[in-house]
Amino acid sequence: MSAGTAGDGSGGDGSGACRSAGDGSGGGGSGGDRVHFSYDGRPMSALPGSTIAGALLANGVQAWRRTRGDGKPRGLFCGIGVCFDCLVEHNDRPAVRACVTALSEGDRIGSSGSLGRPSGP
Amino acid sequence: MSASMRELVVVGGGPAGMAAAGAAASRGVAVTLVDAAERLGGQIYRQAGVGHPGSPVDPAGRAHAASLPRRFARLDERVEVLGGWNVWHVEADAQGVALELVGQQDERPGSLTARAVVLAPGASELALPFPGWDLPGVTTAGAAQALLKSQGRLVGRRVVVGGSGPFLLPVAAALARGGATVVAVVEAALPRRLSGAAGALALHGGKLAQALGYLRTLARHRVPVLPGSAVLSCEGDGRVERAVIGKVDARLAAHADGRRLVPVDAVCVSFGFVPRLELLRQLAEPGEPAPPGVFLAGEVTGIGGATVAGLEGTLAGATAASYLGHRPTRRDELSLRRLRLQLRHAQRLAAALERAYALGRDWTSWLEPGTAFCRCEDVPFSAVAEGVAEGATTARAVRGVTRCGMGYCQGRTCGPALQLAIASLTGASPEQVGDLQHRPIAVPLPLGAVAEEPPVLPLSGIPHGEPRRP
Repeated sequence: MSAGTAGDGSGGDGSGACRSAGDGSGGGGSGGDRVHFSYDGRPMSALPGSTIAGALLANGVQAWRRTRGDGKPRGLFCGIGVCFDCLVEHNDRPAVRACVTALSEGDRIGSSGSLGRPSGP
Repeated sequence: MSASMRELVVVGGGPAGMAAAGAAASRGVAVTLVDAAERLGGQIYRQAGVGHPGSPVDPAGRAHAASLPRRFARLDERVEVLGGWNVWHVEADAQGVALELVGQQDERPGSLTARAVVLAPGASELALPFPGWDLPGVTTAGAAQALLKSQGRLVGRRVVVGGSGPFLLPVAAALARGGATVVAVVEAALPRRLSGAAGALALHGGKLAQALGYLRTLARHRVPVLPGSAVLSCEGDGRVERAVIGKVDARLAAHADGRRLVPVDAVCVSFGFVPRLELLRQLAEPGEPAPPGVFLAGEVTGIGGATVAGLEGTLAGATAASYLGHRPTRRDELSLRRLRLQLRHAQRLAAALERAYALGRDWTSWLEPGTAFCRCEDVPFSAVAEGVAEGATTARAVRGVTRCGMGYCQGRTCGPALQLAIASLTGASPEQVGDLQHRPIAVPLPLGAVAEEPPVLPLSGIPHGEPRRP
């Protein structure tokens, strides 16, 4: 099962300012290229130059891992590759730090269990 | 000397590393600069992600992309820049320095040798635990800043920025400018401490103007700055939804009354910075001198901020150049003398700020028995307190009996907090408690990366006048 909280993928924040994490705006962008990827099988897209964490947040996913002891949700915490909270499965590679890993076209991102493996059955 | 041996490797592409590389290169040293990120800048001058257009509606990403100081802008034309490489091990002997690397994106192995090295690995944030700090939506202040700088994204729409230190102001100001509602900047230091910081700032015009600029931005966006206060806990169902803000005393003990519950969708916390010591510890124990040919610059020598780091980097680069036989000219010597004066001046401000924002010991009074202390291994505060009560009084001993610091991050997050918590619980000094920064492998890496002899990274033809493509 996914650790993520899915955004509804509709609408932007329309505030005339930066987009916020979890606003479901998909990263915004007035035209231009988008990078397409999947998260737990769901198709998503983000701006080029996105990190995996940036792309997930842009799509309204705020948590994508569960801890191995208590199964608590985890997402972005330190943002600079130090805390290992934000681990994802990246194209079958386990335990990848989403905050410092660049997203590429066609990437398959999976929520991960405590050991960086998919948490699903 | 092997043909593939570099002359000088600088580890770290932040202000200290860039300054060191630039200073050594200007003395004629062939410099190789290694950084985990593709683009130079470190955390403070972080640039937008490669190919990222910045936020389409607010040019924060674009503005930050140009935030690299001009003197570093063409550094990659003068030195060999290896971006996207982590250094996970370093050894030094009379012949020189050997570094083991692993690719940040593809985890491929590599190695370098050099006659000398400048270590400028920088710092990470000090995050102190509190109830609910592990809810999604609670991040470090640095994470919010990195997300804004590299991705042009806000961490949330209603944000509390809390903790202690001068870093809270630029983060809160950037979030407010970017369009977030910053509910409050919650600063643990008491007002009289902060007036000490303001007094020290008055002697440093540029820094004072910078601080006033942040305060003006916050005032314009009607963001209250609450000194003597702390985010005592966060609540929410699967993500942060509310923050409890309350008053604290000089020792950081929380007052029972006057607490306030505010709705939020993000909370950004920072209690200062911790030097990244892994690579240094691989070369020398605490108190031991570093081996010859090893130079240090920036936060690894003590937290001082970007200005101090840049000056130390220039000094380290120049000293390394002399060590490598590039004799200083008369002009070099004069500018070094001026540099040492500037450094002393900047260090005085850093010391004054450190005094103003010195952390009290009683933050542990905010914690509940079940508060997550080690985020990786789900170790609650009660386990840490029990370990201490049973006689474990060093960070390594408590790690041994609780698994606190044994998870994925290897104590990078909880280690500094554990050191302070044990000091708080036992009355010992943090130095007596010790830290968890002994890591023979500085960066987690797949076994495959060490299974075979790593290839020596070929020289990329810089610095021989070939501009690198951006």
